[in-house]
Amino acid sequence: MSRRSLLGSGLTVATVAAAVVAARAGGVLDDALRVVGVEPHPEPDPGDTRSLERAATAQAVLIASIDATIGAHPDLEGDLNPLRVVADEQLVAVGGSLAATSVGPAPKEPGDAVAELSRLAAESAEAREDDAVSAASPDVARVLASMSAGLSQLVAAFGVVRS
Amino acid sequence: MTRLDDLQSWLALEHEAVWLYGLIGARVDGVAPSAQTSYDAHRLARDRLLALVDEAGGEPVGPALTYGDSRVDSSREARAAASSIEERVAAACVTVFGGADADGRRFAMSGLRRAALAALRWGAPVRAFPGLD
Repeated sequence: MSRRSLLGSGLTVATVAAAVVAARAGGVLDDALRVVGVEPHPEPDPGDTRSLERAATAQAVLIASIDATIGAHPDLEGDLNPLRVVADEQLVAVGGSLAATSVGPAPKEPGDAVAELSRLAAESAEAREDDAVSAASPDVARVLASMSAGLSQLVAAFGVVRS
Repeated sequence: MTRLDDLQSWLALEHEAVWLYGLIGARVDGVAPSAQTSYDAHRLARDRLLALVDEAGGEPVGPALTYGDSRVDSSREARAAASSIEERVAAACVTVFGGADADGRRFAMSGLRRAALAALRWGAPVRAFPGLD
């Protein structure tokens, strides 16, 4: 189980556990590739598997934060739900799960809460790009690069929710 | 190294995008400023790709004589055509990305992110995996 603090935000504690870490042993990479219609390779590169685990962890935190924001600001539900669906599609594709993820309360101001979601998505977009650039498998590289672009779309969409 | 065929496919789409945004800018007043922005971005990408293909020893593909009969007489038609070309560019960038070295991947990523955001501005929905789904 890993536990880390996300600095500078009301969403302070993210506890991400077994589902992602245990997946190291099998399946994550293959599942991720099958979801996007690519035949998995027989022996995943360990670095690529770790990259997908990092993607899954960040994604679970993003979705848990969306849920916390909707919980604190029900008026935002209509705007945020469609974006949550997209974020969840990404989570499933990289073999992640929300099972062991928890985050702190969302910021009290709706604008601040959505700004925090933007920050999380932007940070993940950048990290996914870096992992995509160094990926050994061309297919994993494509999945992570595309996910990074999808996260940038989410950042833009959160911006519309805020305005 | 970045695969030449992948770059050529992307370049072919940039030619089409430059043509399309020229057409939209000329025909649809309501979206002319957005069309100008997109036109400029795709001209830059096209020129960079022309240079990259040339540096890789290839003969850069040129623009097609015609790109079909897509109608762009209204804002709605313009948005549909624009979001379509941006999503096709995104798909070409994803393909380039897989077969490229680190520098090529950074370049493909910039094109991919730009196309994904442009698609959104032109009315495409947010997608989990732009260029893949």
